[in-house]
Amino acid sequence: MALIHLSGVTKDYQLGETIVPALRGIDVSIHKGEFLSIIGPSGSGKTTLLNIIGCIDTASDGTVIIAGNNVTRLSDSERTSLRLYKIGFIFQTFNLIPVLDVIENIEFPLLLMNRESRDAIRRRAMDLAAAVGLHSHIHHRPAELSGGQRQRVAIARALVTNPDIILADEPTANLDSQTGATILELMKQLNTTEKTTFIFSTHDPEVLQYAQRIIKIKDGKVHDS
Amino acid sequence: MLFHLSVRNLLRHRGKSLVIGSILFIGTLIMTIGNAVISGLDTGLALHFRQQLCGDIVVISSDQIKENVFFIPMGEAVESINQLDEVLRVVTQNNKVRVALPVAKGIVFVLNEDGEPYFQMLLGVRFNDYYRAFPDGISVIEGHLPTGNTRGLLLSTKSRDELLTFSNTWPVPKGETLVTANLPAGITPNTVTIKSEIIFMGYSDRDTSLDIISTVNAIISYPAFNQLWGYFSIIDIDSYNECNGYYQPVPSAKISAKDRELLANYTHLDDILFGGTPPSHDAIADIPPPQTERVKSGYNLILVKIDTPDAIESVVHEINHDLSSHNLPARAITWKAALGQVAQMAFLMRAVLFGFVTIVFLVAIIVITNTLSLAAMERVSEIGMMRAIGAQRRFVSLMFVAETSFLSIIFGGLGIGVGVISIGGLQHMTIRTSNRLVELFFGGPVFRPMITATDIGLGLLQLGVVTVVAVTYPIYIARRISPNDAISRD
Repeated sequence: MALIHLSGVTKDYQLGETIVPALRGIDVSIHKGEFLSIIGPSGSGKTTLLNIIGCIDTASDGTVIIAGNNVTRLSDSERTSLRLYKIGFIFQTFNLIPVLDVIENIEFPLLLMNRESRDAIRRRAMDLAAAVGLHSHIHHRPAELSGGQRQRVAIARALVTNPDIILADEPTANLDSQTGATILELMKQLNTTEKTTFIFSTHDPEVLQYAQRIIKIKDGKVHDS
Repeated sequence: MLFHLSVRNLLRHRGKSLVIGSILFIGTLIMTIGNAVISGLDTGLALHFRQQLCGDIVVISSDQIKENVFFIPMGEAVESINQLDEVLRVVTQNNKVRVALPVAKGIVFVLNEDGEPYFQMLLGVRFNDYYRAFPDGISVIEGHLPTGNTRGLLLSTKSRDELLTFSNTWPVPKGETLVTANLPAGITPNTVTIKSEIIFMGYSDRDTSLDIISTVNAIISYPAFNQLWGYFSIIDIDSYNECNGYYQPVPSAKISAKDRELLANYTHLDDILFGGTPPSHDAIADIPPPQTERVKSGYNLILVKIDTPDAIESVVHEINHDLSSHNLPARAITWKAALGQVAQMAFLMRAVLFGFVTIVFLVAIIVITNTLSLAAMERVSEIGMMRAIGAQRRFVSLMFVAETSFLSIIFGGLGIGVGVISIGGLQHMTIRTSNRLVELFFGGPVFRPMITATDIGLGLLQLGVVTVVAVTYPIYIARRISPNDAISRD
């Protein structure tokens, strides 16, 4: 059974009196362990699709099933829990909590879960900080880190809960090519070792070479998968 | 985590934190001092009026329509209490009643050399009973307090000042020498008439008043509200009754047939003298014997002190129930009702203070709400991202509550602390007034704001309410921030 299943998904945005269709009937299935890229020109609906898969946004119509949950029927609270327990996010602009240091940012989702002891949470966060090469920066605030370091913190934070899915919206867009390559290598490595499903959107052709599968979107429709 | 996050957010947005903190500090400082002034006013009024002047409850005649019996306008007479002994017995039967003092309150006149009348307000009492009821109620300026059933007059300083203005007379207690130091500025012993006796003309709507000569035993002042209560001088009840024409009935008096006939002829004297027909013997025989008057004294108030001053209303209710069940023509009212506009003025000032505190309270809420709402809107990315990675709306709410609570505890606590210290300072300054209105505002002659545990509790409660109300709308805004908002903003 697919980890993610979208059927007839549409998304319309209301801009004043005009309705702008962002997605026009998306049918996609994604299986566990895939390393998948969503590509398409600007305004094609990539980010909207990622947001719907990530339960950050809701579909106007159609069915979205994530890890066996029909998302269209879930409440805000249930969708938030689904994001916490099943999905990790790596945003284009890093999006770290500015007042927390590296280790606290990584710990944050585990603290929200409140299932493990503080020591266990700290150990898990330290392991991941080391895994992304930030063990020497654990007490630095985001403002004291480079773009690549911040993105690595975001990756560690996305991984800390052992999610089934990691969504990355143009994860290398704000990084230099070398740092971007390092980040992608890290993601690929985690995909291989942890069997985590990675879905990322990109414009960058170099990023695409890492993808096992590519979904092309244009004008809100899947053109090739 | 919430603690760390909140504290660090406050430090990160220290400008806004300081703005909110300053408002909380100033607000709680003003609220604390305001509450203390209100408490001081309440306590002062209770101490001075209730303990020293008029008691907690006043019993009046059922026939008395206006309840503001002390400062009733235009010198209107206060109805006498009929069946006083029975009323007193019923009132004192209430186990919460500690003191019940009958008082005759009314006015008499004094004439100056030109024959112009000047009114004088008197309280007719049994002196010893009065001293027992209000042991701290009067200060002797000159002379000595009479005791027992002695006749005499305790002339208030204010009345003496007014007598000086009106008739150039300066009363000095009998047997005492003139204390020149007490003479007002510009007055010398040679320019005034020194007297120890005052002639009072009774004032009674029953046309039975007399002129009496009252000897001044002492010049007194009241420890508080002397400018107001000082209108009242205190006189022995027998002199008061005599002056105002109240008399004791003699139920055992027998009227002979001859006297009755004479009395009947006297009653019809006008008819006899001015052409009327003299009554026949039969008619005279039909004249009923004279009825004993029911009003036996000028007592028209009973000042009652109770053991449970916080339960005045319920004791008033109980006394009224008892009086009613005994079918007695009297009713109890609270001291506030008896003081009428005077109490209203004091409570108006209390209301003004309370209104001021409430305005401070509302301004604090509005400014804090505004600042926090702006802060919430500026933190859309941060809050939206937290929501995206799994923070529930409840977490966002708690974060805002925690941040505001920290500010409230630190700055509000500081405001209360500085308020308490300021009140201590104000108490030590011993600010005095003799102005009648300011005295009402102070609750007495000295400004004594009071801070009690209840006031501090009230301050904390107000701070809590400000915090909760001020944070409600910002929380509403913050809770509505979705992960999508954060992404859209980026």
